[in-house]
Amino acid sequence: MLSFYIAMLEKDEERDIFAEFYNAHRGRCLKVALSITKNKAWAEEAVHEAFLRMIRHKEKYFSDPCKRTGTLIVIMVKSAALNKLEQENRLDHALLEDVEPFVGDGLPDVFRIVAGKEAANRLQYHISQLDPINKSLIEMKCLLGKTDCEIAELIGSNKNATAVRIHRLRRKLYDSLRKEGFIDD
Amino acid sequence: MINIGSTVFDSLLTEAVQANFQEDMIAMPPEGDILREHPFSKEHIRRMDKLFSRERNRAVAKRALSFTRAAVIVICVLSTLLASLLMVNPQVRAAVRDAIVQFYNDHIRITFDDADGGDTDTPENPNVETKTAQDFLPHYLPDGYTLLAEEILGYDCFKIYMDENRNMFMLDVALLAAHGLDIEHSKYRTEAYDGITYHISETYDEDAYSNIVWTRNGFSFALAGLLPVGDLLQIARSVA
Repeated sequence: MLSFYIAMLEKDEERDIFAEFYNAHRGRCLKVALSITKNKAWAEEAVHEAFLRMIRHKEKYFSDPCKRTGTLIVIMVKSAALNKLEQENRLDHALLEDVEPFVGDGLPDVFRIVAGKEAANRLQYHISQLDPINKSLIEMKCLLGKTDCEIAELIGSNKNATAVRIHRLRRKLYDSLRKEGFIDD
Repeated sequence: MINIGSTVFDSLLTEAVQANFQEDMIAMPPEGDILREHPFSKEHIRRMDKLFSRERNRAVAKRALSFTRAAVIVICVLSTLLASLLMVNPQVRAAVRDAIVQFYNDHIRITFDDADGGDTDTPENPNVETKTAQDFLPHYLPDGYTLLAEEILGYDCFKIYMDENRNMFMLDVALLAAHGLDIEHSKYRTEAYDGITYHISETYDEDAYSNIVWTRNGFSFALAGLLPVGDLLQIARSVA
């Protein structure tokens, strides 16, 4: 009876689920965090913080096996790394170069765009040229579907500064496509 | 060229970000290579082990609590069913009743003192008669009456007197009890004599008994008979 009780308490499929998940993704998490923080101690803290966050909300992230993907933990590590930079006052809120000042909504209501794979490829190229910090912000916006306020809260940054930064990133990418002739407004 | 709203750009941007992210993940070196180039510090390994260990213990405790709660519920339900089944059994019910009465007698029973400040419930009290119930006798008996029977029950004594015509009267002397009177079908009055109040219930029905009750020094007396009330009262006053 006692052994049955103990066996029920420790189901095989849940015994080291967090440890196994960590071992499978820890390397890439550290590399991603290092690319943002440029500091190993901070990068390790970001990895720890991301896994802690995931465990605390395990019903949300671990209840469905399909959700236990490396994509989510990598993005969480990036947000934790940005948070660490913000804590250390290293998150650069300087103006992006060659970007028009923030006025109202920014993008025109209607524009014409050449549909097709070419535009998507060029946009992908410009995204890859972004620095890790800006890339992380745009990934949180597009892959997690977070609002500007939610992203600011995740990284512990000022809401207005984050919103402006994300807007300028979108504007920069938009202008890149326009300069290459893929957008005619 | 096609006129399309800005939402198309957002969709395009999302698609491009996803594609770029996947390419970045694919381009990552294998885990082993990354860890060889950037090994984790011992402090980090210790922190992560502690984190997972704490989470395992929490999961075990949560499951143990859940099982315990279920076990308690099952035990309560089974106990209730068992108790219900047992109480159907007369022997069990009698045993429970005796246990409750015993508990009451041992721990809860309350005794009252009389006006003199003594305990009239105990024969050892110096304010109470040193006699027992059976010692009390009527010193006046109407003609022809003799003691027919006597019954002693604990501290109580019940005597029956009868004459040759089989007319009877009864004297009940009780130490730890009180006698009542039926005054609904009779005439009730009281009479005082020698410091004692006699409560008289004189029946209207000549075939029914008249009653006299009184108390003295912790004892309660009850006299009943078909005799005239005057005779009964005389008998009562002679009881000593």
